Formats: sequence, structure tokens, C-alpha cells
Amino acid sequence: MRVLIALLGGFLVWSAAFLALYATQATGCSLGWPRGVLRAVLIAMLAGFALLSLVPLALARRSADPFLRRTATLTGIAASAAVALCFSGILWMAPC
Amino acid sequence: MTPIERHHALERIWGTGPGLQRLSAVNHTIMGRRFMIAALVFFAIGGILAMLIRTQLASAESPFMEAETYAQVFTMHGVVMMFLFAIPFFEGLAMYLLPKMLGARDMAFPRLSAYGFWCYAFGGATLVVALLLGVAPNAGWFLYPPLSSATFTPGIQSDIWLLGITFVEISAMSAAVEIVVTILKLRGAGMSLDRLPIFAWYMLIVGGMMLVGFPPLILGSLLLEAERAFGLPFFDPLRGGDPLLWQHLFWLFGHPEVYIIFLPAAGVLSTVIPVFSGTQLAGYRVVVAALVAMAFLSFGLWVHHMYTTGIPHLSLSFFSISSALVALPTAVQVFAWLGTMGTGRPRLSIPMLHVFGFFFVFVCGGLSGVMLAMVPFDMQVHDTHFVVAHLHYVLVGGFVFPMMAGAYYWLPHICGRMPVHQMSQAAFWTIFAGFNLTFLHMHLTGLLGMTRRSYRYSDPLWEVLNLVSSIGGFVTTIGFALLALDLVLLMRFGRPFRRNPWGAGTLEWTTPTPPPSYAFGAIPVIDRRADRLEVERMGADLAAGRGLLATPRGELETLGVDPITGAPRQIIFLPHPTYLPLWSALATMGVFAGMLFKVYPLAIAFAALTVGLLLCWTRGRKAPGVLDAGMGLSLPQHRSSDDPPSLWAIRLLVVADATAFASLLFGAGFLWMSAPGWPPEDPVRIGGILALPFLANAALMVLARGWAAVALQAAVLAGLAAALMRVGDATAHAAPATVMAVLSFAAVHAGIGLILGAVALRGFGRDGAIAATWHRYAGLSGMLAALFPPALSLLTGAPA
Ligand SMILES: [Cu+2]
Repeated sequence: MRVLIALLGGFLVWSAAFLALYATQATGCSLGWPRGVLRAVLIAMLAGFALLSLVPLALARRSADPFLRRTATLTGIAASAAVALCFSGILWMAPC
Repeated sequence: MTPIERHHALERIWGTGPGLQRLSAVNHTIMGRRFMIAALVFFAIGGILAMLIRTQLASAESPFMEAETYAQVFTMHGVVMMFLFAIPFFEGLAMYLLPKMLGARDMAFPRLSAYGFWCYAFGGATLVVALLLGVAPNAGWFLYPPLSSATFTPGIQSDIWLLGITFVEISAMSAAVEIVVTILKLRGAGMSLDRLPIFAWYMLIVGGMMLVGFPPLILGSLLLEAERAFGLPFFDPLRGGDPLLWQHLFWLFGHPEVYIIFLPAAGVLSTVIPVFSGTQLAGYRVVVAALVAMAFLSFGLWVHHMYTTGIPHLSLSFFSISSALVALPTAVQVFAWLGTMGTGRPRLSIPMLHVFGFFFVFVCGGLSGVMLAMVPFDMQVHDTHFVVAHLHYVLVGGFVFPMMAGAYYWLPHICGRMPVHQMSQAAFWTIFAGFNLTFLHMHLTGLLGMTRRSYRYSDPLWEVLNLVSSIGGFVTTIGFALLALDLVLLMRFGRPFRRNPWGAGTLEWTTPTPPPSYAFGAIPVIDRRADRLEVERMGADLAAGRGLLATPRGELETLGVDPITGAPRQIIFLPHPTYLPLWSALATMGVFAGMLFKVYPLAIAFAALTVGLLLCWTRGRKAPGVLDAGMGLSLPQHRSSDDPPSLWAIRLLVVADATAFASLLFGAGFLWMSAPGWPPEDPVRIGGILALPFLANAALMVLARGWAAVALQAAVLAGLAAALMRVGDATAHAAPATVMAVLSFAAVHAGIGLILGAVALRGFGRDGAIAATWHRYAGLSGMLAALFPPALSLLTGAPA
């Protein structure tokens, strides 16, 4: 089970980030939150998810099995990069 | 026991009888072949429809077809190719190959394969009959409302799509469960996760993607059918619904679907290329990591089909970047294949020719895909023939060419004969030239502004381009006819061979060809990665019984292993041939027919019959405790093990079901935020009655066994029924309609829980654990469902 978490965890965090950020942004826009507040909330969430996406990477490095250590490290790096890239628009685009 | 005696003994146990008894077949070799043959028949039908389209478009102002006929023809071309050809074909390939590649004697749930096949065959046949009768779906293969709503498409045409496709998708869901459980549990001894043949990794990922990819489509279909049949306005903007909800649900399925189709084909390439390069796949680990990345990223980009629907730029950027990012893991695989060929010595045999066809066509399709991922460019070519060209490059390049490579590679295994190389080259080049002639300059047709689905035009430049496309289309057809002829000749007159003609290192080539029904005389013991095996030596060993479970005992036995380490854990008994799947599928068809013709009492009667028949499947004999597995090993029978395949199946079903439930909640949230006409004038007031199902569901999560669970499910059902009575007029506005949908969803789950709980009381084997898994999930989702109506009234500004 721990193996699966290490292998899939990074991208599970990416999926959770996707759903949460997309939903928060849509809700904020729909309810007419002030721009600055919405952006601050989104940035705080993004920072949280970026940190969270590093956890599976750390788990993978402690795994005893060489196959899983290497494969899970690769997916972990890819997932962290995906979190940073996919949601970078939050930093510079108008939220609504 | 000599190999011949073992063969006869096993064949008596595993074989399917002749004549009408073939309808009772559950064996994976037979099912795999049936799926593939049926899919090819549908491919031919879809191809004929494509020819009709190209004839219509060959000249401007063509009098060939009426607009209505044309609408049915292009809708059915898409429906047939996506739902009745591509998915079932790779399901068939997986069913045929996976057990043989993994070292198992069959799939985990053979009767489920058979049930899925019949559902697919009956559903597909319904669609084709509708086409012949002139009442085929005509609203485009993605059936966008409001065009497909009752107002604009009265009659049964859209219902045939919604119900027929849902019926066919039963086979996709059952195949997904089967594929994942088979790969995780049914393998040779010692085949740990890092020793899986690469094709199994691909199919494991695809199976997982299907489990979460199809439920949104099935949910959307049910909601749209509820709107058409009962007037619940989920997609009607005049009553608080939103047609965009359909687009979200459809593409939430539809984009992952592209990768669900591409990955099995890529798995074929990763298997075939190393063999013909005389080396191993470069970067096995990197490819597995790329697969994981792709599986997730491909879900985060469905909105790239909806760039022009007015979504805020920030959220568009999420989808646009994911759409571009998903090209990276794809590129990783392409480089792995190129690297494999670079380090080895590629032999240019027929499968490799098709691999080269794949490289050229798919890379072109991938590049135009990255172009389309960019929002401004997509705005320009949205819904034009540029998109049509792109999708054919991706799907034909990414599925048809690799599968033709696979066909030449594995057909010798299926029929025991080798290609004779007469027509194969000519067929390939005709298809390749014809395909590019049809679609390459269709990019230009699109850039010039010709929209997809248009059935006549007047611009003379478009006429030249379209005529060339039509000529190309007919050349392609001639190529496919040559290919079909070549394959038939191969099967009839091919050169017989003994074992492993290509020098492969995977287990399926250790079986005799054509393969016997039991696949392996003994279950192999694996000591290295399962695509570097000594096939010749192992083949002789297994036939001679050097392996596990070599002594026939009268049962259909295969080995169950630990999913991670591949250590033997249990002996799995598989079912004998039975007509139950056929009867169950016929009863299920009755349910859909009742709904199609709106005779609901009939549908309910057939639903009861279906449930009854499905319950017959589980009538278990008493399981023996511990059995001798050979080679000095004793293992428990799967029913007395604490980790049987059926428990995995129910967990996977819960994952799929939870996806459907999450999609439903997403849909409700989407309507509340985006649909016009919210908040409703008349808020939904249900009152305190929901406290009963909430508390009963909470209790279920603790008391998930025995009589307590049955009583709690009954209480949930009663509470929900009372609450449903108070919803009010669900046809008036989408708010009461979504409340109705969420509560009905919970009620269906409580009903299933009631049946499972009652069955578990009879106390067969692991039924208790299976029912408990369901009760806990139903409890959790039911609590959320009970909270939904008050939450919605709070959000719409009216306390419950
Ligand atoms: Cu897409």
C-alpha cells in the first residue's frame, strides 16, 4: 500500500490541487469575492499543494525496493513540476 | 503423466462444448477472439459510413444524401468507431493476451467477460438496427444538448444513443474491473510488480483510467435521459439547467478516452519494437513513470474541448498548460521506442512497417494537438475540419497503425500460421498513402473555414480540397480491403510454425499455437523480468508439467499471488462454462428496451429479473481449505483466503461509483454557480426527515455486518423515500431536479446494500466482507447525499 502511495501520491496531490483550485476560483468569482482576497486564497492553497507534492517524493526515497524507489522518484518529480507549471497562472492572471 | 495425457485431462476440464454450447463459453481465448472479431465487423460498418460521408462531400451542393440522412451517417460513424470498435477491440486483445502474458490460465472473472461481451453485442446491434431503420442518433457523436434534448430531437433517436451506449459501457466497466484484478492478482509465481511484461503495465494503467473515466459519461447519459423522459431540466437553460453541464461530463470522459484508446496501442508498440530490434525496451522504469504521469494529466484537460464557451482565462490556463504538458510523457515513450531501435538492429518485417506508419502519422497528430492546446489558435479553428484532421491523425496513427502491427505480430499466435508476405506491403502502402491524401490537406480545408458536420458547401477551392480527400478516402478503403484479404489468406494458407516465430521473450509464446483453452500445462515460476524469458525452454517445461498446479484435479485452477511481490498466496477456482451471462445480458437488454420504448413497468420487471440472475452467479460450493499446489507448496483455496479477487473487484467498483457520485455533486455545484435562472423562485424544503438517513448511514459505517446492516439500509431507504416525496415539482427547476437525483442515487445504493446484506446473511465465504465494503461506502456517500439538500438551500439563500 505504501508503495502505491509513493508511486501515485504526487499526481494524486496534483489532481486534488486541480479540483480544489478550479472549484475555489469558480466559487470566488461566482460569489464576487474581491480580486485581491481571491488571489491571496489561491496563492496560499497553491503553496500548500506544492509542499504537499514533495511528501511522496520523500516517501519514495526511503523505499527499500530499487525499482519503486527509482520509478516513484521520477513520478514524484514530474508531479511536483506539474503542480508548479499548471497553476502558475494564479500568480499573474486576472482571477475572473 | 505425459504432456499428451495432461493436455487431454486439462482440455476436458477447461474446454467449451461444440454446437450451441458455444453460447456458454466463458474462456478468455474465446472471449478475446469474439470481442476482436465483433469490433472488426463494426470497424467495417464504420468504414462504410465514412465512405458515404466522403461521397457526399466530394462535390459542392451534392444531391447524394438528405441532410437528415447525413446527420445520422456522420453521428453513427463517430459512435461506431469510438464506442463499438476502438474500446472493444483493445478489450478483446487484453482478454486474449493478458492471462497468457502473466502466466495465468484465464481472466479473474470469466463470466463477467462473457456478460460484457453479450451486452456489447446486443447494444451494438441495437444501434446498427436503428441505422438501418432510419432512426439512428443524429445529433453528433457527442450528442450536445440542447440539440439532443426532447425539444429539438423528439422521437427515440437520442434515446437510442443514451441507452444503447450506456448498455455497451457495461462491457467497458466490467472489462476494467477484470483487467485490473487479473493483473494485480492472477500471475505466475514470482512475477513481482517490477517484473510485469510492459504490456501489462499499460493495461493496468488503462484499466484504472477506465474506472474513473467512464462513470461521468454514464452519469451524464442517465441525467440527459431523465431530462428527455421525465422532464427533469438538468440541461435546459430556461429552467435552471445548463447545456454546458453535458459538455463538462462528456469531455470529463471524452478526453481521457483518447488516452484510454492510445495506451493499449502504445503497449503493443512497447512489446513489438524491442522484439524486432533484437533488444530490450529502453528505459522500462521511465516508461512506467511516464504512464503514471499520463494517466493523471489526461484527466486535467477536458476543458480544451470547450475553450470557446466563455470560461474565465485563469481556469483556461490550467487546462491549456495540462494539455501541453501531457505531450511530455508521450514524447518520453516515443524517445524510448526510438532509443530501443537505436540500440538494437531493427528488422523491417511487416509489423515494423506499421510501426513506421504509426511514427509518421501519430507525431503529426501530436504536433497539431499541441497547436490546439493553445487557446488563441484553438479559437480560430474550433469546430472546423482542422480538428477533424487532427483527431484522425491521432486516432488512426495512435490506434489503428499500432493495432495492425499487433495483428501481424499476434495473429500467428491466434491461428498458428505465419504471414506469407505477398500482399502485406502493398496493403500497408495503400493505406498509408490513402490516409495522408485524405487528411493532410484537410488541415487546410479547416483553416479556410469549412466547419465539421456541414453537409454541403459552395466554395470552389473547398471543392478541390474535398475531392482530393474523397479520393484519398477511397484509396484508404481499398488498402483496408487488401489488408483484410491478406489476413484471411494468412489464416487459411499461412506457413505453420512450432513456437515463438519472432524470437520474443514474453510468456504467451510458451503456449502451443493455436493456444489450448487452459493456456499453460503448469503455472510458470518467473525469476526475471517477464519480457526476457527463455521461451523455448519454458514452453517445453510447462507442457511437461514443471511448474505449479500441474496435476489436474477436476477444477479450473489458477494461481493467485501477492500483488506486489508475486509470491503465491491462493489457488483460484474459476467457473465452468455457463449460460448465465447470456441470460443476464438478455434480461439487462429487457431493462434498456423497456426504458427505450418508455414501458417502465416492463423495465422494472426486467431489472428484478436481472438482479435475480446476477445473484445466481454467486451460488458457491463449499470451499476446500488448503490444497497441494505442486512443487512442495500448499495454498488455501481462494474462498478461504482473506484476500480473494472478488474483494478487489468490489473495491474497484466502489472507486468507479464514487467517481460517478463526485461527478453528480460537481454537476450540482456547477449548475448552482453557472446556470442561468438561479436561485430558484421556489426553494427546496425537505425538513428534518433527512436526519434519519443521515444517522442510519453514519451508523452503517460502524455496524457494517449482519442483521444490523440490513436493518440500517432499510431505515435509510425508508427515510430517503419519505424525503423524495417532499421534493416537490422536479420538472419546474434544476434545483429540485438535482436534489431528486442525489437522493435517488443514495436510494439505489441503499437498495443494493439491502440485497448484498441479505445475501451475506446466508454466509457464503467472503460475502460478508464484500457486503461490508459496500455498506461502508454507501454509508459515507449516503451521509453526503443527506447533507446535500440543506446545503443547497443554504447556498441558494433559503434555509431548509
Ligand atoms: Cu481532448
